[in-house]
Amino acid sequence: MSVRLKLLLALTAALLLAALLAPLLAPHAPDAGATAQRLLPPGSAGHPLGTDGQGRDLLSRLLWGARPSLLAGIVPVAAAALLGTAIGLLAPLSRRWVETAALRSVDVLYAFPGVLLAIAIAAALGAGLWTTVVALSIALTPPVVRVVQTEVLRFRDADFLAVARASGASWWAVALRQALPLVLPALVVYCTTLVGIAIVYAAGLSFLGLGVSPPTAEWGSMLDELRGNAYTDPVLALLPATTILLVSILFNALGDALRDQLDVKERSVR
Amino acid sequence: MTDPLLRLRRLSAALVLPLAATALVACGGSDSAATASDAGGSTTAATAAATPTRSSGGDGSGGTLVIGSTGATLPNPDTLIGGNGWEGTRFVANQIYDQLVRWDLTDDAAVPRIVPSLATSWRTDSAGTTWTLELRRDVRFHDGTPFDADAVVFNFDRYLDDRSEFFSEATIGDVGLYAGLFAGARKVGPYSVEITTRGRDGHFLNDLTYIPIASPAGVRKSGNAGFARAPVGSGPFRFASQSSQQLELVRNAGYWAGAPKLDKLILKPLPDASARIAALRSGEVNWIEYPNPDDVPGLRDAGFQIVSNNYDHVWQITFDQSQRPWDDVRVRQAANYAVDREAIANDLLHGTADPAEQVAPRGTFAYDPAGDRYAYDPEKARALLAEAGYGDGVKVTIAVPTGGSGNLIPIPIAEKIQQDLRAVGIDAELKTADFDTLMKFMAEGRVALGASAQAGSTPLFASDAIFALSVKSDSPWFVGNPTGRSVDALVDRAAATVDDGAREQTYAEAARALTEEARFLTVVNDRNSRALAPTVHGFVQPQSWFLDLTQVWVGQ
Repeated sequence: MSVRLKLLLALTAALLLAALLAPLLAPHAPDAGATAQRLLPPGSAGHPLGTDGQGRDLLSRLLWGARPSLLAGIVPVAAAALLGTAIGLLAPLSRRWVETAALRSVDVLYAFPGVLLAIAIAAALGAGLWTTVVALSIALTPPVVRVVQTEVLRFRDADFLAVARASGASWWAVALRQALPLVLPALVVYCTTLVGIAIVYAAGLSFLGLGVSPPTAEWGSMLDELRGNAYTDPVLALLPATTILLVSILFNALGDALRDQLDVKERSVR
Repeated sequence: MTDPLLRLRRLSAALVLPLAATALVACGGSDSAATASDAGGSTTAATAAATPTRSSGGDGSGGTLVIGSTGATLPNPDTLIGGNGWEGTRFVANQIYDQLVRWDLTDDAAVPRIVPSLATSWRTDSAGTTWTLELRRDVRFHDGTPFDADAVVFNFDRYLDDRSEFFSEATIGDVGLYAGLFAGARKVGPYSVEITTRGRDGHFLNDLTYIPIASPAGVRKSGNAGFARAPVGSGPFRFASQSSQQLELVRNAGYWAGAPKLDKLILKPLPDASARIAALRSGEVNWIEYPNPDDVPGLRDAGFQIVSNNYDHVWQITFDQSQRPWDDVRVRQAANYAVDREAIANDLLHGTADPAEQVAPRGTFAYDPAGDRYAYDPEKARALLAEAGYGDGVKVTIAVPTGGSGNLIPIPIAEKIQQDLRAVGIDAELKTADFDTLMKFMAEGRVALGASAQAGSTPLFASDAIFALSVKSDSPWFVGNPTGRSVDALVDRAAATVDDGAREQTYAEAARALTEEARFLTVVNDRNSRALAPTVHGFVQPQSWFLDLTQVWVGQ
């Protein structure tokens, strides 16, 4: 395992731990504030990262905000991975008409840019964290299907599958024991990268008022509330923005490192 | 404010509702910028003194005024079709067109009164249903054709008579809200018209201030469809051009009431508050509507003029009285006592708004400084809640718009209210949605998003038509499902009272009843702040959403 991968895994673990331990780590309650204490700069007494427009401690809100933000980044990707793998793996191994029907249906969703699709679904369902999770799960499924399907197509006609079938292995056994393991590395790498995208999408939905409801701390809604202060308090406005950026970069880098580790590009199947 | 209305209109074939919604949206006006109000129950005079309402003086003329407005799109310049609700009315319709009567917007110290405009005098019969108006004889439209009784009849036919050649569904859409009681207009002399109303109409003149008079020759020449591209009125500014980026008007040198000082007036839609500030600081525009309150001190330090004044605006939460716990007046009053309005007005809004402790806003005839009913008193709030049986706390849900004209900075305000309510035992969940969505619910007469209360803003007294739609229990709009009917009776009585003094007294009585029964959680009265470049001179900000731009000029 490369040093880079170890470092990135450690950072990811630290991030998840910070979210998990937010109640212990946060110096203040995330929704407690006084308007007399609003927009204090970073470094103020008791507020290392300053306060927001309601006088709430920004460090505490960033820590607490990691929970819904990471949840909205990871859960939809997991759901999309399950659903997308099911479709992307099983469809190409099925009869022609099943494959065509399944993949063309996905193509319809794929025709919409992911973030637009997520906004449309979230707007239809009404604001809320679970709305974000559902909307992103649906919006992220089509690209996962594509990745898995592409992998499957590389070996669908390979000899080892024919051998497995000839030896009497059931269709399910071929799909799950022979095909799935070959797909997994690419899937893991892609989904790791996808977490970064999902966090940005989730922040985007909150920014549009379709995510968590106030006063819940969430990075996207924090950015939305502070963006009006871009001129007056740029440092404060940059805090949630930078957090989203860095975490998204972290998951992208992790995906890259995993790709190198698992040697996805170079792998050839015969 | 614009888009929601347009979409609303498409949603429903019924004209009045969507239109009304438009007007409502538009009017709430909030854009603001200004100064601190003094803490305890500031009076109109006190606040006005604290905040400049005039831009720097001096003699001069000329220049180009470029306004960064809050609307997402430009208004349609065909009379009142708008597209920006009242923002279109004030910056475009009222500049291109005159009405038969208008608000006097020249005095910043007084609540505006209705004064003659294209009509010089009027009288009504004893039934209050037939109005005879004498018209000015020296007015020409921008195309050179004279204004006369035929022009008035032509416009009223265009608005009201579906058999008229130039009847326009689109136009009556917006005008219909105000012209609802008008039956028709008839020429009784070359400069004399008679307008009849269905029933005794106490707010006839108020409605007339919203009915623009277009050039009949202009409409005939361009047709209904083309008139928006070549609008012709008799107002202080003439239409020059319109692109997707801006709408350009030029000085009407022959304006009957005296030519405006500006050479040119340009309107640019800049819905994003940060983009407006950037445009002002870079000199792309020299006037912006509603600077973000947090930006106001910095703008002032940088030498920009911040002007503001009272006007008819209240940011409020409407309780749904068909749901617990709001069916109990003590709970509604408790919520009113629980909110620290001073903190909202001074900390969050930097004095660009004043605390609203009664339903009648400052800047209206109905506002009574002695009528401030709900000073911050969390103890009293807790006691009232306990008395109502909610001593252990109660859960409610409030629908809050994410933005929209007149709504100021809705989410930060709502979050502060949420904190204050929680402190007395009312646990409020906030449900957010764009204003468009909330307006749709409102126009359907329902509280939005399954909530039990809805936040927003209203201009209660600028239009009698809107006042009735905003408070009467039989309104098609959502007004809180009130159980009492006393306010309905007062509003009906006022609407049928022709005498100004008596009518206003009755409206004020209705406002007091609304305050007493705590129909709303009134929060703040906005002060309609705007930021002007130091080069803009001669502007007097009236106590109104509307304004007079004829005395404004731009120097070096």
